[in-house]
Amino acid sequence: MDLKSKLIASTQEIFSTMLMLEATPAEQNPQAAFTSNISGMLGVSGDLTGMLAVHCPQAVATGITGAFLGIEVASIDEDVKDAIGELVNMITGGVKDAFGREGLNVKLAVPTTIAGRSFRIDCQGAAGREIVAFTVPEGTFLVEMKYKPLN
Amino acid sequence: MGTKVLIIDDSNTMRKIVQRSLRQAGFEFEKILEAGDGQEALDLLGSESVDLILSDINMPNMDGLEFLRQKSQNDDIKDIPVVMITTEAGTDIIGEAKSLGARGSIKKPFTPDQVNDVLGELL
Repeated sequence: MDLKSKLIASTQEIFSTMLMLEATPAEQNPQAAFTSNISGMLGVSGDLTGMLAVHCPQAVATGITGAFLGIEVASIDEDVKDAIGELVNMITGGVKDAFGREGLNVKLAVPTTIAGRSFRIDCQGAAGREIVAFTVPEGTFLVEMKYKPLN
Repeated sequence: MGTKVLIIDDSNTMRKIVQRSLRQAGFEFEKILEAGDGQEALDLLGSESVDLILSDINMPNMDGLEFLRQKSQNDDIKDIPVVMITTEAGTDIIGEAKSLGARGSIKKPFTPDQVNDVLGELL
């Protein structure tokens, strides 16, 4: 299961197709501290159980939202929360498709978004973790998947 | 009289993106209506007539498949063409949507050209 390549391919497809931006994978120490002001999450079930999350600093989240909507966005508001939720929805959809081509059936939940200065996200029972950092003009964001390993 | 379209998606962002893609694909509508889920759409269709419906599948409250089921049982709206716009590209879910009356599907993420390819056959 090459999860990392699935996360990269799905994320880059969305940025190139709908945002007209390049999201470049970057080195990221999974243990390193990362300041996120907003995170979008979506649970998966079926042959793979876990959660996919996107973590963004404010500048990245507002930049992504502005690119989606074609407007200037100054701060984290309902549009930004909605846009990051839609981003995580599409990334997870692409990952689901990739697993589907390998014969795995993955079901998607509805995305949730959290914004704030200090929060921690845990995924119960998830022992596996893959995390990919991407750079865009406004900074770096993370795409993370925590999952229960396949039997 | 111009064409009216209804966009059903729980994401306000996606509804705006779809509207922008429709314009970029060269489609012009007299009126664009929006609904946040299937039930809201059914309520809206009780008082508004539209020529085309673009619907997400994965939504809270009433999802796109249940919307298709209920629409197919309502003689007043059952013939309005529906195109699914969704991250759910799996043949099983799209197959179910088509068996419930969906006329086509567009996978997110999408380009205006892909929107044009699918809707051009219906409009």
